[in-house]
Amino acid sequence: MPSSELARFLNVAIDVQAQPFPGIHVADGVILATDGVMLVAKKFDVVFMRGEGAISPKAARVLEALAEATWIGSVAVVGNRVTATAQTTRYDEQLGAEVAGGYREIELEFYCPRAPVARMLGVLHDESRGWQQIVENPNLKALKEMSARDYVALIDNPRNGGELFRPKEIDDPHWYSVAQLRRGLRLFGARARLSVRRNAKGWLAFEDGYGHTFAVTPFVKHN
Amino acid sequence: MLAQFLNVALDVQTPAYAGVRVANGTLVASDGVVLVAYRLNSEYIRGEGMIPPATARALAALANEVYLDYIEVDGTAVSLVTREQYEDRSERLVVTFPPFACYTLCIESFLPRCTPPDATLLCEAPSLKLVKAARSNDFVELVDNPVRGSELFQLKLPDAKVWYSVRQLREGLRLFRARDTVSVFWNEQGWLAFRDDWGRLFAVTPYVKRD
Repeated sequence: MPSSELARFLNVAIDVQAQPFPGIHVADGVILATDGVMLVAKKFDVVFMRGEGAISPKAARVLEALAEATWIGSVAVVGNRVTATAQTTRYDEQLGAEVAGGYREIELEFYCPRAPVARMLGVLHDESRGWQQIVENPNLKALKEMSARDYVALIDNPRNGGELFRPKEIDDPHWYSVAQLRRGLRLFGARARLSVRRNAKGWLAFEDGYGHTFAVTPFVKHN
Repeated sequence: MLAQFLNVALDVQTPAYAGVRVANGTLVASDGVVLVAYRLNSEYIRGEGMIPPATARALAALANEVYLDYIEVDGTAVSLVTREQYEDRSERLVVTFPPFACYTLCIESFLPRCTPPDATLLCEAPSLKLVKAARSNDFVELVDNPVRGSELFQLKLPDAKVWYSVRQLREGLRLFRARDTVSVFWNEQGWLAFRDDWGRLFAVTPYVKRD
């Protein structure tokens, strides 16, 4: 049985991570990837996702391939060393089918610079930055219909269940890239009920009830 | 090249023929109709067994990023040795993948049928433009007496005795780069095999007219 949730997160995280913060960063059960503009994170059980450090993009790709194929029992990160326990499978001649076997450890250690995970996550909940809940369960149809090269702005007073974005207008102080929003929103399932927050600088944070977070910084009009 | 081979092999193999077979330093994958193989040094690909699809995916991801010293296969367990390069040193790194279920299929036994003496050389470095230009649901047949540099295929005619699927040809020909020089072999059953100087081979079985 594949570890679909981990595989999906890693798939999006590998796409998002880039310089100046390459790799996927782990601390206190939280796994996070960012390129400095977007951030995706997921809170796992601290028994499942243990330790603290950075998973290099190479190790992350291996982990993603394994998670797509089999059940991952736990991931332990110490610095750049990643130890995953993967469930083996074997072919049972009597049953004539594939059956689950025991767990085996896979160790990967490739260099990757560390990133301050706790500080990055702290920013998303820092009250002094003016975070405000703006809407629950928004409609994101506009993002699907627009071109990836388009830009959008938040509509005024979005309603729960209503459309969140409209095409950018020339005098908008903050706007967002459709391509970036689409890349990050892949983190959530099609029917996820999202909660959206915004801070005073126009940063947007999308969260679901399963510990996933996607945050994106805006383009800002400079007069 | 290993990553590219593994990616094509993963597309080719199907649940009935799951995995990549390793024997005598050669990697082979098949779906029963199409076969791709890569002959490497037996010091580089060691042991004998099957690389299960999950391991093959992970291996392809690593081979794309790092230089692998060697790969060792024992049944369905795979381990590889690589080096992580730091500014001041390089460190040996062993990655061991656990065994996953994968039925052992000795598909390497098909390889002799694709090369001499069982197969004969049909043409060197043919043009394969038609395979690119045709639709993927088209069928093609070999031209009479193909020569170096000219087109190997023509669209299938109603009275063709042996013909090939463009989709299958495209799938396997992804193994080669645009400017690779390939030799084409043909056997009595109509199997067509493309081989380059780097040890990569793609073979496809034909559709045959039954009277």
